Amino acid sequence: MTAGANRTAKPARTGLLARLRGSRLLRSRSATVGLAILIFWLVVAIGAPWIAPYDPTAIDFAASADPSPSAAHWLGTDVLGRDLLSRIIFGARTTFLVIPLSVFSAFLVGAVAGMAGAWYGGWTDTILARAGDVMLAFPALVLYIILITTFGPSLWNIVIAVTLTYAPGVARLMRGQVLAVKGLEYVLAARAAGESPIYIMAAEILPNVGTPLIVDLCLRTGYAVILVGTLGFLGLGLPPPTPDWGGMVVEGVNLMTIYPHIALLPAAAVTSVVVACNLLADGFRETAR
Amino acid sequence: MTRPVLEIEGLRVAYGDGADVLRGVDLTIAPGETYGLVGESGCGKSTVAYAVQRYLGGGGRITGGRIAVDGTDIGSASEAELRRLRGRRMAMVHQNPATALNPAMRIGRQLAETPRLRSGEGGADPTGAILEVLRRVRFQHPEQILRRWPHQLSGGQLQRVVIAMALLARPSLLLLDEPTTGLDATVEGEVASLVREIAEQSGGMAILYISHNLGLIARVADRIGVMYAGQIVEEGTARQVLKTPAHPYARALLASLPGNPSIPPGERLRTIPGLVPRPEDLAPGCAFAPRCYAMRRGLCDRPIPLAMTPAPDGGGHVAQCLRLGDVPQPPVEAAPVMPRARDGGRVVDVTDLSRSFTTRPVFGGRASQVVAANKVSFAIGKGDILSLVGESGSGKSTIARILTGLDVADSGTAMALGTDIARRPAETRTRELITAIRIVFQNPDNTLNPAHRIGRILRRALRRGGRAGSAEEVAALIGAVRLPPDAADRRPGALSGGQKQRVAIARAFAGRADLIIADEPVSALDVSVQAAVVELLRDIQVQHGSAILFVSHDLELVRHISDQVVVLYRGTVVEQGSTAQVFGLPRHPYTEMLLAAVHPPDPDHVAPDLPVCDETAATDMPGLCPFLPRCHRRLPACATTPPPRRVPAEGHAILCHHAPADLMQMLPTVTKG
Amino acid sequence: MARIVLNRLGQFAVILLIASFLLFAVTEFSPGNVASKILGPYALESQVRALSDRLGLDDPLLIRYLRWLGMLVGLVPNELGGPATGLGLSDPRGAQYFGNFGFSLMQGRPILDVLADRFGHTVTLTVWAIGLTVPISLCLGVLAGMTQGSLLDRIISVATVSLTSLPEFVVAVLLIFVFAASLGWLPGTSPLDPGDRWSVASQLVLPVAVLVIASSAYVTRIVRSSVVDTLAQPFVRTARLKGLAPMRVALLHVLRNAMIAPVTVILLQINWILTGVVVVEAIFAYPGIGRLMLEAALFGDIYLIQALTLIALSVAVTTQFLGDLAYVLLDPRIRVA
Repeated sequence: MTAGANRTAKPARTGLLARLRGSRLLRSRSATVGLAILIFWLVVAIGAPWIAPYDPTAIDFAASADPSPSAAHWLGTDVLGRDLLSRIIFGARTTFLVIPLSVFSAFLVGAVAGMAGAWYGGWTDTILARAGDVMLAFPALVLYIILITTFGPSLWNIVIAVTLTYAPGVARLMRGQVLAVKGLEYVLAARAAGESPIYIMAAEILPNVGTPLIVDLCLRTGYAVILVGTLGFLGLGLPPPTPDWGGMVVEGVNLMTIYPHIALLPAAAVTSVVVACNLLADGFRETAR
Repeated sequence: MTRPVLEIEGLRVAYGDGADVLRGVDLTIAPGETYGLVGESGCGKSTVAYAVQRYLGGGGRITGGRIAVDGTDIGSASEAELRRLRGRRMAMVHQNPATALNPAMRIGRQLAETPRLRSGEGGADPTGAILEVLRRVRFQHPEQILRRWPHQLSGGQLQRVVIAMALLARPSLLLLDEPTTGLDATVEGEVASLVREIAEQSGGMAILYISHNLGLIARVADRIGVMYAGQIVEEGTARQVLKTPAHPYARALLASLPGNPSIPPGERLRTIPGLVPRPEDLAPGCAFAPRCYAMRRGLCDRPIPLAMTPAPDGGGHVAQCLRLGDVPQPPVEAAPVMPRARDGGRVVDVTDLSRSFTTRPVFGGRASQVVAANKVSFAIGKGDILSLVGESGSGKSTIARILTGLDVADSGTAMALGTDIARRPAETRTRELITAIRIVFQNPDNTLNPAHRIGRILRRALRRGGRAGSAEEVAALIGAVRLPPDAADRRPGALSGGQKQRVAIARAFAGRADLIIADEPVSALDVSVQAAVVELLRDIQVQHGSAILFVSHDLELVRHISDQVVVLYRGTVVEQGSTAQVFGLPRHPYTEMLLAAVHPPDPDHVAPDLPVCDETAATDMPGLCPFLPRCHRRLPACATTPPPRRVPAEGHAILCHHAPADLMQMLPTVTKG
Repeated sequence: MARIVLNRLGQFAVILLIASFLLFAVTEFSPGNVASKILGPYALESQVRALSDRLGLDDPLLIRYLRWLGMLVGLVPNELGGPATGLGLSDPRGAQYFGNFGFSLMQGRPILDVLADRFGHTVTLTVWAIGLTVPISLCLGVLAGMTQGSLLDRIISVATVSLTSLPEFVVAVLLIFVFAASLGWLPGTSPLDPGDRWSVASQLVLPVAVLVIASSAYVTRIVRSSVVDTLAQPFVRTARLKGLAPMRVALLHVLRNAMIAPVTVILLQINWILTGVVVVEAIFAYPGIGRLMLEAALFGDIYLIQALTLIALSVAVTTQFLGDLAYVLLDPRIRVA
């Protein structure tokens, strides 16, 4: 069963970039679908001004009388008569600006803190871990509500809020991963060879802790989409008239009985992005096996 | 003749869509017989044990042949019948006892499950029977064991609990799959003698004992089967197979043991080239032919099925070899061991080195002190090999790590290149010091970063050693450790364990390498591969004029290669001297115990009978002999005064209350029944 | 054992203190003076000055935090009430009592009274949600894990993965669309007014359903993967090869160990449900403290925000403590060192 590992097959590709470039990830069906959805929305977000048939804030009084889908407005309009398709397209821009920024910032802070804690141990680790415990003690939404109501809803405040709530979790994961690898012989060998901590982190440890972090990144991106959508839904998102999927859903809820599409279409857009992130996470998990 | 307990005929097993991993195994075990199954890892030994219980998992299935236990056909038994068989007719002991027991259930309750299977939930209280079996597996206070949780017992104690659990089923067939692998040699010997005792007292229980360790097999088995690549290639009584092996594979395996009496210490160990093939990569004809020293072209590589044929010594001794009766002895390695450069200078001089650790349970609780090194002193001469020996927890690796700069001593000195390195972590060492003292680690799977190619790993090491790291230098280094040239482009995952250790050795010798610290470098490898790696290490050592600090628990290997030996027990040096002195008499009682646990692959070897010690507690009072709680020769003075350092001969020291003359006598021995 | 518990208790008390201090600091330090927030945008400079002096708003932050804590436990009187401030705020309990959160500026009455109206509703909602989530997800998770790879497992897995991808507000919108807007079986809002044509029970169905769907999908996945991991452990093989009946192996060996991880997750899930409560209460206009928090936040009612977030924080920290405690109790490796 465990016959010698003397495989004559071509060398295994384990590097992160190599894995993305290689076809292993794309061999997973869920990853392919997830990636396709994300790329679709990314293209939509970038090309919004050219793709969208209308200005997302332009009001069509004629249409507002009957917001149902029509030849002029394929997906109909909202109550104010703004073209729903254009608003969803521009809403993708908001999502694809806020989410990557927030998640990237949370991972940067969390990963650095986690690595530092695991590598230096002792007081550094204790203080960082306690700080993380304190941040994790706040129920996420409560923290947002405090932060956003006191400092006002703006792009950067949302980014800061997401960073504060996600960084401790990322740090914990990173810390565990680094601790698991830190004691392995190849890291010891690098230390014994007098390599600098920075080199050891970058060249010896990081390439081997990638997969769980990537999976976590995908999952957290999904949560962030949910969260930012929820903030918008609660009226704490970006200030109007910026089109924001969560905010669009709440605008439509009251007309649910007559014009369900106003709420359902942006809800479907949010969900599709979350689903894509979760599928991608599953794909990475499969590839790692 | 009575019906055999286990009958296996032409057994074939495959996993998933793969090729058969068992390719026609025939095996029978009579009542009261112990059958030893040996072979390198990857030969399919464990698969046999799981197939017998029809518990293959992971897509495994029996693709041919027949298995019968007590006459019941396993292949056609219903699930319910199988369950009855598992609980009553056969029981199994697995390799790793630490994971074999439910962590959330007390020992007593887990043990009671088996007798309750017979009597039903409302049946008689099984406690009496359990206590009796626990006593049989040599627990002195079985009542206390019942209330313990698995995590509170040591590895040896756990394995005895698992054996007790198996015995409670009162099976007619007991399967033991590498039951002592991973345990200390002293514990290993204890478990083996326990198995022997059980076999003798059981009255008709058949035992299948699977191990890669020929010494252990010699100790327990009546008959032996040698497995290679999914087939039994030789079978006979223990004496036949071990004393007059017929198959070249069995001969080569025995010859590669460092304790092989035909190879005097210091000479080259014999090796088996290559690796056990994967089931889908089998050579046509004899599967062993590509690695066989006696392979004859046109005969051994003909794609014809092989059959068991009687060996020349007859008496039921059979082997599967086309040259049977005409097989030469394994060749002696041509190249002699080169003399080493020694000029009396010292590479490292360790004086009174001490290190202790404070451990604190994660969820609070009392902190405890563990002494890893207690005033350890030794010196390694230029070109010398000094071995540190002792059981796990003796502090061997801690000393190795301090010298490498991965840990720092609490006190004491270690002089190397004119500086004290005892308290200098690697980060603060000069490049000269770092390249002068290099380390080779134990676990081949973790020793190389799986994300990097071999070429990159060696290039980096060369550059750290002050060289350019050109492709030529990398190629030269790869050639020096006898790896194929294309290894540079591979990643560690594509190499075998032995090949990875070769890369690790190449990495260590990328600089000047005055001292190589080899921390159990071969203990995770099969003996056949082990010999090759040790020989490579010695050759490169001679070329570089390096000294080696060899950390090992394998006393035969230590005896074979070292000049000096230091015996450690819980961080204290209890004996040190030249190899001849430490392995000769007088010896410290601990050395005596370690040596008693060494069992050569000889069924006639009589093992000294050492008393079993349940507790491995440390002495409470500092300064007293650390070995006192386990010592079989303790004196009244041991409990009151620290032991004196006795010097029976120049360069030989023993830490013991006994006068050297008292330590000359040998232990009483037991004869095998 | 007692030592471990006390140790953890101490740690969580410290976390609660630090977190509440941060909370206090953020709300007090938000742009704009506290006094002008209390008095509103049209207050005169002198009025703001006078109120600041009276409430000691110019004192160092730590002093103000300690005063706030002191007020909360009844050691320090609340200066905001009574005729002296001219705000028309009064508290029949007096200025000094245990549980004195101060006044809600939005409603102009003591926070304790405001909480008394709303708190029970939220408790009802969460108790129902948790009471349904736990048994549903345990059953589904164990079933899926035990029958790994079967059709049942695949159905449960696909369903839970899809449901965890749905934000709570989307679930709510969908449920309203189907059961309220299209079918008309249930009310789309749950104001719990006594004179409503819908019964209180029917008003609870959709809010509870949203919470249960969102959290049980997640817990089910955790339970399933824990069961699958435990099944792969060697000791399960030992138990099976001992010849034990499958049911006994499942109950005594697998489940006992497989429950250790999910219990902690379930307790932390209470925390998650609290977040969901805000969303659900907002959508269904449910009169609980979640919606109250949102209203307070939008109004800028700082004392009410402080009170509500402190409550949420305490619940969160307590459940984390209980989660740790459960872990210690369930795993003998930690309990018996």
